[in-house]
Amino acid sequence: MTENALLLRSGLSLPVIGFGTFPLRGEEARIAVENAISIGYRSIDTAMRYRNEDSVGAAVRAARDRGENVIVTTKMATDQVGHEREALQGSLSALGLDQLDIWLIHWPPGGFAGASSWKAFLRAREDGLVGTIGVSNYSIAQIDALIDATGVAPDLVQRSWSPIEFDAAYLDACAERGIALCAYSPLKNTPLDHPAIAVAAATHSRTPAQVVLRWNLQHGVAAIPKSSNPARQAENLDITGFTLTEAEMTAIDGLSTSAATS
Amino acid sequence: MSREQHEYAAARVAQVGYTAVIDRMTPQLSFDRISANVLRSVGAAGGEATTLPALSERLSPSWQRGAVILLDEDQLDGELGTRGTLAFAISVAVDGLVGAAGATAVLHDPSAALTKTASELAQGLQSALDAVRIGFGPAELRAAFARRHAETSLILLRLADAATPLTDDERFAEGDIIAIGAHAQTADGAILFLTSVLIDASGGTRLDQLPLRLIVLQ
Repeated sequence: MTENALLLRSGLSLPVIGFGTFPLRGEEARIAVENAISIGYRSIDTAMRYRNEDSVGAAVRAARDRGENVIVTTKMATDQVGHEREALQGSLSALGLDQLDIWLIHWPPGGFAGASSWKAFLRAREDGLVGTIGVSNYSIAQIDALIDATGVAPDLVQRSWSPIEFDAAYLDACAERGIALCAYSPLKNTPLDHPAIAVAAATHSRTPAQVVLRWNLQHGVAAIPKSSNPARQAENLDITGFTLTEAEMTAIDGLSTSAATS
Repeated sequence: MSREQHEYAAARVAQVGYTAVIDRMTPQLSFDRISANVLRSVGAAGGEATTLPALSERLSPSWQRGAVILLDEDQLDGELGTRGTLAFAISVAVDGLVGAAGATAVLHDPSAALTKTASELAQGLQSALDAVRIGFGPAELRAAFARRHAETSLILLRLADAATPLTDDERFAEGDIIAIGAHAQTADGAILFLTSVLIDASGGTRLDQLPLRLIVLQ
């Protein structure tokens, strides 16, 4: 891990801050992604479900044409079990890309691990259509079921993750399995005015949102905050140049209300 | 906002409701929780849950709350089981105009008979969708459907400020929004597909991206 990126087992260097695109659509999505890229975002997150892959793809292709290395994540919808390759081709077509950087199973299908889909993901990677594969919204038990079925762990797991949802056991379990964690909705439901965050923000002359994103970074967790506000997009990206102390990290960890999910 | 834009929004929000069911489906999930998930997701998408009496009367649901209709009578009492099917419909309103969506999922390996019936039903529905034209009406769609699947009938509703059954003398006009669906009851559970279509110069354009096939989740 560098200060700006996580090195995934697949070899991909994933920027610690990416740009989430839900629920942006159409021109609003394209413009927001273009703006995000223009101010330095190099990781863009979308999904079949968001119905904005075409807009995201347009902005990403334009950036790549300018020589900018922009990583795209998309996710297969749960109802595509048994139709994984068609789903992938549909996403690639909508994005206008020949190969996908990161492809995730969006939700555990039916609450099960989805081993048959995972096998299809492995085949897609073997066929060179995808570089990095993973899952979203999975428990450790569900991840272990995939490993049991195939011997292969996801490279990346994405889930709702904020100080309130902090779960040390989940984080440790991912690390033990060599799985990188990416937080979506990292600021949602977070009590940004809580003293554990507000005091750290004041101490480091940063905003509470920057403190929360920095907290993720120091835990080795990537994050994909979403904002269509250009000023806030820039603020969310600017989380280097300060370090939370161990006491500050522990205090923010203490906001967790999550029971262990692993 | 034009009428078409309103109704497109209603179809989109109905699909959001569909997603709230499919993506969060797990065994033993309570029907009340499903309804709550739909209510929250539909609200966040700018719509509101609503009941469509015409749809309820057509489907005779085994369970209904707000926007959610469940058809399968074999499910456990009040929660999803791993047997049978989950055939469901979602109905929403956006700025006073309604939208609907329906699908069928299973949490197990479906039987060959269930798979065959679902496939034939889907083919019949696709035939009906392909037959949509300006100036046509229910009779032409039923004929196209029956050529592929003769054992059940189509669901045909006009969507506007309410959902109303299409009568045989009605003809499709450009800009109309209709819900087209197919429903079958089998020994292995109910099957329902329901999608929204905009009547236009090309015939009909689907306004959602719901899979018109049996969804297997496992």
